[in-house]
Amino acid sequence: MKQFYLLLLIACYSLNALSENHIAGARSKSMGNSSVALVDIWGGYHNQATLAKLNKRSFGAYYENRFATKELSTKAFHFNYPTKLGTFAVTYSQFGFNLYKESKIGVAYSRALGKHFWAGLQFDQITKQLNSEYGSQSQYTFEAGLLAEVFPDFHLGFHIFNPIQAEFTMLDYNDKIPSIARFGFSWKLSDQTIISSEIEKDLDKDMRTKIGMEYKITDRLLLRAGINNHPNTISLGMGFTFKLLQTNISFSRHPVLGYSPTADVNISF
Amino acid sequence: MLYIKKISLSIGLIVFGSIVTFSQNTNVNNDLIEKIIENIAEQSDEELDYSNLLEEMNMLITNPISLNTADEKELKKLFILNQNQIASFIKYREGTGTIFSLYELQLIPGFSEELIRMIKPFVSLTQNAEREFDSNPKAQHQLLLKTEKTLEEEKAYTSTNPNSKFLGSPWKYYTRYQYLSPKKKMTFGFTSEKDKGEPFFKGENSSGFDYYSGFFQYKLKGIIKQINIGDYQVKFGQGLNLWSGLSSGKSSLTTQNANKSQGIKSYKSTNENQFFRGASLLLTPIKNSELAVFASYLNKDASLNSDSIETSVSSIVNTGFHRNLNEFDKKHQLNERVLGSYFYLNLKKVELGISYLQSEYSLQILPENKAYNHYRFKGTRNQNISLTYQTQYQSIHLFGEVAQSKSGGRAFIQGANIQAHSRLNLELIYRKYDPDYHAFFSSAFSEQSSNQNEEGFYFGAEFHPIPKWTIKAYYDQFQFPWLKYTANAPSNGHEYFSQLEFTPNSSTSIYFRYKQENKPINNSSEIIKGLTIQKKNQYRLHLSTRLDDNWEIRNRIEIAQYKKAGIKESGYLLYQDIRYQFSEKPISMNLRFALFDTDSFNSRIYAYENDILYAYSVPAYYLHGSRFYFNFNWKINRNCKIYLKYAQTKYASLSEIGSGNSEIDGNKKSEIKILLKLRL
Repeated sequence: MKQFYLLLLIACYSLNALSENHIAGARSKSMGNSSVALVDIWGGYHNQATLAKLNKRSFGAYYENRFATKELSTKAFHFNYPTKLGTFAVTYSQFGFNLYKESKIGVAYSRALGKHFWAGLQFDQITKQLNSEYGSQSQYTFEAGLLAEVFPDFHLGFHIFNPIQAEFTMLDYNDKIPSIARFGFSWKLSDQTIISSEIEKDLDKDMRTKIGMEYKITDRLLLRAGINNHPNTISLGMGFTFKLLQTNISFSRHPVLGYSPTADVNISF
Repeated sequence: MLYIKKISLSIGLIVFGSIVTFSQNTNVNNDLIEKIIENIAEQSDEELDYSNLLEEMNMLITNPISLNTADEKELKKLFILNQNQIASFIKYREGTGTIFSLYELQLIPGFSEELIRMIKPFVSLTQNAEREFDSNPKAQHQLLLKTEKTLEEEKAYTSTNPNSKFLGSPWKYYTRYQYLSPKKKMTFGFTSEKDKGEPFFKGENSSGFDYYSGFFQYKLKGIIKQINIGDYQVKFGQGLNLWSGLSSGKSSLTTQNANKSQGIKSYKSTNENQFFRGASLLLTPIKNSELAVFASYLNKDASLNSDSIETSVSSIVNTGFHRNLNEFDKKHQLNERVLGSYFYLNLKKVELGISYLQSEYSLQILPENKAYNHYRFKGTRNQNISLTYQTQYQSIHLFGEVAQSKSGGRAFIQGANIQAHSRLNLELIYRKYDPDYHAFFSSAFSEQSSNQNEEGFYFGAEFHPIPKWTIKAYYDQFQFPWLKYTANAPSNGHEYFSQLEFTPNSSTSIYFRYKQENKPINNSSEIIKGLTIQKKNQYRLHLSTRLDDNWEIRNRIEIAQYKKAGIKESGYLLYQDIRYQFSEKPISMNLRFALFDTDSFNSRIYAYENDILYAYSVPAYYLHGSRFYFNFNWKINRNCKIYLKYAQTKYASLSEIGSGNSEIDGNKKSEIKILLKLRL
């Protein structure tokens, strides 16, 4: 019985998990997910074009405990490898638990197309795995992103996910993988302060607006905050940098379902 | 040469100063007052008396704060500067020395052109020496006499029902006297008022006015700092425990929500409940600290529960009206005794405070036996204790308070104001007020009018992306863990506000505003009363400009939308204000013509109105019709000023206005107000 309820619950939110295209990275989370034009080592989950601006190899692990429920947790990893030709990246994320699991593997390539223009492309394998009786299924799709610096320190970003509208075919229905387009900016006001904003349109859902900001209190400590709508969510977070190591934490609050804590640990070398 | 230059500079400053004193009630001041009080008015159904607040502002206009000498405490009196701006201002002044021009202030992080335009009337650039020369060592007596009347007769005056018939005349009378000693050490005075319809020197009010209030305040040097006898207010910390009187809530000043402790002040308004009556003492036991003790004994209006065996009170009545027998039955039914104290310590980096308050009532307070009242205060005694702090770390101002009431219920507020960049100011506030937190004198940041049964996050921002442009926005997400009067279930909602403002020069301002509020409330149309979402949208375009030395205009277009379970309504308001100031004579006039068309009261639109001195109104415009008013201010001489207002609302499709006691035959409602200000 307990499992039945759980499945019911997951049925409701599994879509929610997918709808955000397996977003990972506590920095982005704490800025209201407005990361389409934000240069971030977790760019493989937001906009691959931003990866081209990285100049260090980095590896990171991420954990999200959605609504403080263990069964709704997400684990994610990324590895970025910048070269002279551009940046190569691999990402892996997994949502759920043994009765219901979604995972995504992405391989990305990103490079500069000019002095102020960058582009990135990623191939994805998305796998859905139910209880052993139902088996598992994999689908393949891609995502692509652009980043442009229109004024000094002002970046515009554009990203599409699953433009081919790939979907899982089940016995009696089709389980859609969302097709999502995002467009937004990030503005570095000073070395201390960044603001960002984006709009997101999922083919089947209301348009979302997101706003975020980051403020560097000291060289090691960062403070972040953000909001977005559909559902109305506010988020707060902090980042700590120590030599090679960087960690971020965030809390976001859904008006009905409560808090979702996330954290990540990264090494840049 | 240099000497001459200096003299001309100081003459310039004096002239500048006198212009400022002369041009009271200009657009800029009105815009600012509107910003501060607009939201208080929208949240309250009662007609509030803003005189304490407005008097402070007028005091600042006549005695502007000198930016070159003011300390932090004085700067806090400027309503529009937050702690971060004050800190950066002081830092700037320490670095550069004397400030010669207001335009210089733009170099300070967080100071925009718009802000400078706003503080301009309240500040001066005088130096110490000139100030001495300027100061006025004479004692001041000030007397205000006011009367007002609704010209059309309301039904209650001729009612045949003896319980609801108004016992007095439809004139309102108001008198206020204030004495200010030469060095401003001592002030005392009184306020008396008779509302429309209240008896005057007859019946129950054989002693004349219906409401009397008096105050005495004496400032000393030494351990005892200040003594207050009579009526006073205490405003401390973030207001979770002690904040008697108005505090502004969410407003277009989106990053100004930290309350600034004001300590103890004389009370001069006519809100008949929001103050203390008794005595208070302010001490300085050790350096940089403040200890206050106060006691109050006040009779309040209350509705009695008639059906219980023991007499008890169901609610405290705040209107202050005693016009008929029904209302007289509630007058002064409840006696309130309050003892309180606060201690405040200013360490170099941190300010800490603790406050305690205990109140005792002569009768049991027993709210109606309804589910939404489950956690309300019951009994005769309440106690509150609170701890508060504030600190400034680099460009982050942190403030907070935690409080507990006798019931065990807790309230908590924590905020941060961050000057993230010289052009970007952010404010984050989290608050959590338990359903059983009881405080009779609280007024901390919240969505509701009381600090009870609420949890929420507030994000506010003020951003100047390019010169002359300002973006202000806030987003507030809140939830009510227990039922409310309007909601039969725990509920949650949000409010969103954004404003784009353009200030092309110091005399013109244009803004566009969008505001949205989503809140679940009871669905009245169904048998099972569930919740349904009520959605309100507001769009406003406002222009205010000074055309030359004589003319000023203000224009507004506003659209309101209201949606609730199938009901969809909209409302429109359009108005034109004109103000004329004679060049030769000290006379100014202003006029408004407004057209409004709303589907019902639900889609009403509030708009601030100019009024006579110390009176400001924010009426709700609804249904369809037009309204105009005319204000006339004449400074007859140094000691005598006269203020007149005539206003009339004419509805297009009504044969009677209002309902019940306040019903008026016909489609017009007009009002006249006269105020005389005398200085002796």
